[in-house]
Amino acid sequence: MAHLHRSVATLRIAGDDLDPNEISNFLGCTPTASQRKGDVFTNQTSGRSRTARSGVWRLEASDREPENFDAQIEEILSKLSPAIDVWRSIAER
Amino acid sequence: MFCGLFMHESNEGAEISPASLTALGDRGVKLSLDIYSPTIEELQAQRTYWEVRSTLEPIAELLTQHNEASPGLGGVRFDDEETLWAYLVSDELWGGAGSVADQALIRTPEARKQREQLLIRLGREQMSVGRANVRTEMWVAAFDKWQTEGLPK
Repeated sequence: MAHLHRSVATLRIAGDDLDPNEISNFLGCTPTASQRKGDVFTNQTSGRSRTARSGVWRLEASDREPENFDAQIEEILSKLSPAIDVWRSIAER
Repeated sequence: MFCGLFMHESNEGAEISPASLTALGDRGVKLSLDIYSPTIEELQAQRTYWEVRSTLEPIAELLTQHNEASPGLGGVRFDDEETLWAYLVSDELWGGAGSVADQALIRTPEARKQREQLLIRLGREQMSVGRANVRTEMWVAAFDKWQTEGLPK
């Protein structure tokens, strides 16, 4: 069996009342991208607008070819707070 | 944690270490996996690769058996598509005087016929994907004719 060709990995935290700045402060890192519920985005090409249906905080790892999830998970977690109680407080919301 | 997996072939695998799983579990992070099959283009390229590889390998064996090994072919790594294709479009394989198509096994009729059948298959596959030498079409037409009518007198 061959190794998987390519992998991408993103930590994605989502919630209706999610405040991206609060998550950044908790985890000690700025996200790759974020949005609050109700934010309006306009597509530069089509000109169409969309409204964010929930708040999202995303941190991406660099793509790996061939697949290497362990390295991607390590890449993401190494940038973030190791304090387990902080993570649990976010997960339990 | 969202992970996207992009397959290149029909049967590929991946592993996640206990340390990674523990790190995610300790933090209460759910692991989501999206798995994407190869595209039609990737499957076609894969089929072509296996077709040309499985045709060129017996040609190399045939040449070696008859002490006519092609120097460039000896350097081809069959598991490396880049060097394989460099040889497949080369003059050493499909060129004029001295090429494998031109003179290999010329003194051994049965082996020559077998070589021609393999080169016809190889040439047709290469032409079907537009990755052939300028002389490939001419050689395939000649071999086709010689297979049915015999060598020109």
